[in-house]
Amino acid sequence: MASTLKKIILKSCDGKILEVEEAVAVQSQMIKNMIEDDCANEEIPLPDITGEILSMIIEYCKMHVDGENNSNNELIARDADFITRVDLNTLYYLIVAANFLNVKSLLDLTCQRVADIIKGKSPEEIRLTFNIKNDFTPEEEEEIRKKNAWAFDYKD
Amino acid sequence: MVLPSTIERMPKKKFRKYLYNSEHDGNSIDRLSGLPQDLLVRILSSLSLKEAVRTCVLSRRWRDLCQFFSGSLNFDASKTLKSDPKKLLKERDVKKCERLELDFEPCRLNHRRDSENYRLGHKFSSSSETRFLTGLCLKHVNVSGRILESFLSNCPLLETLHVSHSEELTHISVCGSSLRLKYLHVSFCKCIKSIEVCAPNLVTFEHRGEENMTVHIDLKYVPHLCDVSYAGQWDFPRVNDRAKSIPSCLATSQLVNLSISIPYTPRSRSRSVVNSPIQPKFSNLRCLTLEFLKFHLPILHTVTFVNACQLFTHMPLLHKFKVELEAVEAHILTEVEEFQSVIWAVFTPYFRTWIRAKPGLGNLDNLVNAFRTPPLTGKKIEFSVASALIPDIPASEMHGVYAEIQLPTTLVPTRYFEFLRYGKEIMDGVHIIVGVTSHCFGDPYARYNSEKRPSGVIIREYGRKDCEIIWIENVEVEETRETMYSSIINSNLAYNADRWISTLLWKLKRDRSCFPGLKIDVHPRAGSFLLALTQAMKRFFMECVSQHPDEVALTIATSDADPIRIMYNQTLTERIALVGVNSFRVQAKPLSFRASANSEIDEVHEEPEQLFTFASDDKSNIISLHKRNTEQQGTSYCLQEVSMDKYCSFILSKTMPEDLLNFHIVCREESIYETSDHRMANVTPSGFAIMPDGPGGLQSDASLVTFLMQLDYDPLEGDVHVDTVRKRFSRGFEYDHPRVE
Repeated sequence: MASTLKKIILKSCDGKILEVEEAVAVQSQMIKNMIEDDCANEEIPLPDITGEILSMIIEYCKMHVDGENNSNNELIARDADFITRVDLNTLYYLIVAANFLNVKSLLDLTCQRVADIIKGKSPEEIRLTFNIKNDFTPEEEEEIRKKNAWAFDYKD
Repeated sequence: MVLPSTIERMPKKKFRKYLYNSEHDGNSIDRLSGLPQDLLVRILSSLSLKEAVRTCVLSRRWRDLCQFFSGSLNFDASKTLKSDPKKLLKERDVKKCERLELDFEPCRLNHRRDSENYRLGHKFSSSSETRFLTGLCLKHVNVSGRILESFLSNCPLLETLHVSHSEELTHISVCGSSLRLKYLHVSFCKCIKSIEVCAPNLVTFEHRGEENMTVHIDLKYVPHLCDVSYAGQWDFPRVNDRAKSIPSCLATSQLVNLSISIPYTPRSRSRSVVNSPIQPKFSNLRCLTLEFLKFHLPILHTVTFVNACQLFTHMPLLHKFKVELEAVEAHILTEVEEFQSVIWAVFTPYFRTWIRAKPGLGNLDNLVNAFRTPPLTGKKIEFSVASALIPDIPASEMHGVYAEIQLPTTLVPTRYFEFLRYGKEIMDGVHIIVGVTSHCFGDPYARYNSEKRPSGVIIREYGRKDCEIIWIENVEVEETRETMYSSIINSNLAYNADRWISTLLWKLKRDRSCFPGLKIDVHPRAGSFLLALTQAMKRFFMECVSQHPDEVALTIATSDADPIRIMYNQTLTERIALVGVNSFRVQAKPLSFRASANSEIDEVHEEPEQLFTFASDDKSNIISLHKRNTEQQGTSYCLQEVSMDKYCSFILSKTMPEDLLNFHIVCREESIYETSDHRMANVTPSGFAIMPDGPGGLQSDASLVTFLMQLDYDPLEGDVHVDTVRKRFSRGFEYDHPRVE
């Protein structure tokens, strides 16, 4: 059991040091690879992840490790609880970090969350929600809508 | 160690900036669009395809992202994708999807290269969502043979599999003893090398490959296969070693329909289909289709003359042979005609042949040359072309063009020939009606004294409302046919294309006649009755002057040499009815003669009151009804039609009793004259036809006039002698039916 108690030291870009159990840390494919390559004995600098985000990710990973014995439905409910507490800004950082650390389940969860927000919205509402600036001329936009008219058929 | 590639790609500074300048005004920055492309694609792929595509209007950043969509086509998500023309997902049942059709035809908007086809992942094929599939259709979807095989094993109910334009497919093996698959279609897969089929229930197999690709096809066990269609170069395992024959593995006795497409390669010629005699019999084959992708004449000839016979002797039940040609040149059309006639001559008559060719219809001269063929010795060809614009009739409605081929005189023999005529839309907006003499199809019962060489009408759209017709007339006649009237014939006036066109135009105008001045009430459908009746009157006239009048209706009492022809009209039984015909030449211009003849008629009878005229707008056809009172007969009515075109004028009239008039014109809807069975019954017109005699049309110096007169005798008076009739007939061409007192 010694290996499971092994601590991995992570350092965020704003200098925060976090000690994580290996079992939790290997949820990240990237860290797992580093451990396998024996490069995880010293602290691992994570240049683009803030301490705040890093703690959230660790919280998420812990939740998954602790919840291994729980039923699938319970895990899904916890995931949902976790992700709905996250605001949009944090969500982007989580996506980027989950991508970097290669935490597949978190990446799926966060991307799914963005998709859920997009779902059911008109392009205008999507732009408003995410502050996307429409840089098409009206003619261009019309042409694109025409070419993909089937997708804008909201009937069913 | 695997590092996520997206982070590496983004310069660090920029990324930091992106990450941290949010702290001040976190709500106004579009951080979503700033995410690396593959993350955005990942997000999109969590949406339904329709929603994902909809994001393309968000901004330029998003425009092309949806083409990388790789999400699951989640059937539980929605039934939204049904109406998509480019990317079609059909669902019968949302949860238990039965038919799946994906068409990712590259849209022009994205200028996608072929290599960027949507790629179907393994995950999808093996998911449980597909287990109820009965039909799978993948177009422009890159799918490998391995994934198709996994579909086949995961979809036990699959009956239809259609794969086209997949660039990853190199080998497909459709094998399994429990396969339900009935229909297999593989087409335009660039890299395909081999297809292996072992499917107990397969009925239809279609393959269409690239022209220069050889595909190895192994139909191992296909006991129910009966429809096969294939195109492209084929490499079948063969019994004999002859290259490119009809594959022996296909020559199974159960085949019912076989369709072979032959790509044009200069070296292969006809070898590809029929060169090697087919050893096994296609004992059950009913329908054979040969499609020539790039039509080449030598191929056609080879197929026709050398191999076709061999080919068909092995197909005893064949009853439909279809040749589809993709021709480029107009001159092909004549050859196609010939090909068709040979097919007809060689094979049994019950056997139908279809020819589809697409002539390029650019230049009229090319077209004309295409129809020119040298005459046989002792014959000459009369050839003419004319074209006209037909207003207000779209090309699609012009399939039935009708023209009579006879001159209204007893002096010029009738030309008769039987020919087959077919009409077809050969390409969008272009219709052809082609006539070929039936003699050329080996019909032993065809009556003819001249032959119609391939002739026809081409009808093409001219704007949205009108159509243009091009008439090509090509008739072979005996060279020695000199008569005193040969000038009109030889000047190509009587039977040329221009005449048919002018007849057609005249008929169209006549059909649109109207009543400019009415003195009596007429029924709304009186117009069509008048057209039908006067048409029947003209037909009666033509029958009387014909070289061989209908023997059931008319018996000629005079000899052939007699310039006057007297006939018994056997359709009228209540009295002895005879018809007198005299045709003679008058040294006067056709128009002047007509005018004087017309005034002469008016003088004979006193003040016939004109009740109405029913005329075409240019007065080329006038039907009128006249009323007159005479002491002997009381009130009688006379119906007259005056028609005129460049080639011939008719003035025909007929008396009408008052009851008939009331019955047909004033109140009754139905008319017996509208059915052709009754057209010879009691139409009995009198009148005459005037043709210009000699070149120059209406300006010709002489006219050929043909008179027709009804002569009635009371049966109680006893037998009538032809001489008496002749005497009365020649005494004067009186108007109306004179009675013997």
